[in-house]
Amino acid sequence: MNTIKWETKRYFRSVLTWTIAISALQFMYAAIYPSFVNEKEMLIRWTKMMPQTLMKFFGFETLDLSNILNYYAAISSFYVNLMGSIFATFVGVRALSREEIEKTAEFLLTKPISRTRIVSLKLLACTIQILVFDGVTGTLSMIFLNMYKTGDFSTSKFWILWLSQLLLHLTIMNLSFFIGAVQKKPEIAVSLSLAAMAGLYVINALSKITETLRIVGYLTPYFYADSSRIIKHGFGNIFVVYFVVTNALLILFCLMIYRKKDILL
Amino acid sequence: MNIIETENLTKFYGRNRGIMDVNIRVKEGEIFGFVGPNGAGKTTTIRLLLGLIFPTRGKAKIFGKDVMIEGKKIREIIGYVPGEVNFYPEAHIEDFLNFSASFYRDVDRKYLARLCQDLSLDVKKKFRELSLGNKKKVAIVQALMHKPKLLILDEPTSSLDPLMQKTLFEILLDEKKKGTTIFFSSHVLSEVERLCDRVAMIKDGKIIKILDIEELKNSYLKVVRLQTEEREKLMSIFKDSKVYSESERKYRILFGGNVNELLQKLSKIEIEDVFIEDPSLEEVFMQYYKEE
Repeated sequence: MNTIKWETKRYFRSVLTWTIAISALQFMYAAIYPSFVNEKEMLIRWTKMMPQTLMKFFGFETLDLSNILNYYAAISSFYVNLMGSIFATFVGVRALSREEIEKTAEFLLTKPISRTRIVSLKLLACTIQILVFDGVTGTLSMIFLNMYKTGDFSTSKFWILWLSQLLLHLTIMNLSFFIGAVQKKPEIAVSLSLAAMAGLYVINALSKITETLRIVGYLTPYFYADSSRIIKHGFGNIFVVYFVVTNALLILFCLMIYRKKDILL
Repeated sequence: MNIIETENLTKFYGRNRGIMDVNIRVKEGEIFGFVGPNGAGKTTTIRLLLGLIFPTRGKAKIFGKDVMIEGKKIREIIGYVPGEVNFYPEAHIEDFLNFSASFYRDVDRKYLARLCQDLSLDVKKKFRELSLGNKKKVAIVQALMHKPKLLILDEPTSSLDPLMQKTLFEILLDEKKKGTTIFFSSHVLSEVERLCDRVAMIKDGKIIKILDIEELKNSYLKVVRLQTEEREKLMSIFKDSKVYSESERKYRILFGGNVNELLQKLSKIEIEDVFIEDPSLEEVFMQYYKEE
């Protein structure tokens, strides 16, 4: 538990900053919603003018923006999805690679603690950071939506949508954690993780508009956590299976490789 | 009992040599010096012992336990002072020491406070605010706080002022009295000679000599520094010894044998000046390095 406490204290400011930033964005978008509703006619004209491919790319093509939850899902697919993923990438990748970059691994790994335990405790600490980030931003978003709604919306749908974002962020966090743990050159782990995250996001976006890439899209977590899909079709069991299998494999390989890794410093 | 025991310990970094077939035995309660130039393999050996890196071949045992298999148990009774101290820059020293203590069972808080006091450590500061010397002090405190049975120190006196070096030596000698075994890696041969019971010399990844300091002091080996113009005569009289020319008329002779015999030989030459002394570890060290 000492390591979890230490990590929580170490990254408290970072979690707080990201949480405030994303919550502020949520507030801003919720606050401008009433003016969107008032300009409904113009909005419909605007969506008709946009190329269909672009509408598909952003998941706008069938969404009814007259409901605040639909409006929110369309917006969140941009920044909660993507910005949250960037945050999750940093949370995951820095957990072990920063210890190597700053050479504090020499202290940590010469203490009586096994590498398996270090990985487990660090993963737990990262999960706590993601839970706090998603928990606070989710709760605040719910409050903001209620403040600016113009009609009723489904609370359960909102939480299902938020749960999908949480699982997405945890998957991205685990992927980055894996890269940070196994990468022999820790200084490139951050850029590699960001590239992997952005690559998955783009592959999913392209799979929406390109028939030949549709199958590849199924491999990315963004396909399962697509906000527009969740609002329309709900949260499929397949996402749970995908989440469990992907994360279990990432953790397993991470442990196998990190236990035998030379910490060169 | 051997506290550290390595058997053909070898490490390659890809094609690059780390260490090759290192065989050392560190006995219980001794201070074992480990000397060698930069890149000789000192830090590689220490990192293998601590389980930070894994050997290409060979074995290392500490307290009879394989460092690759029972590393966690071994590290419970080891204290380590790294050569270059890198701890968490944003952390307050007090918090950092508490974090370090949390890895061990029953850290004696009074002893920890005394260590900080002896080393004049200000625990209220952040790590990044400390000078190199003070960072080293933090490293020493975190290595000693749990009263380890084996201390591994990598260049512990670098960046410590002479007064603090003295305090550190007192602490180490005190630890030795308590029965703690100390593995002491250093560049400074005079401090190794002063502190250690035995010393291993490493060069290009290989152990070239393990010396007993006491034997060195009691050996027949003498260093003669003399000034003479009779070069040829000197060379013929000392043809069985190693004669180094330091300048045109100054010579250094490493003489192994009876002192009376030495004096007789010296009396045959016209000498301008002469010094006869015991060889320092540095002298022996340089000799082995030149030979190898």
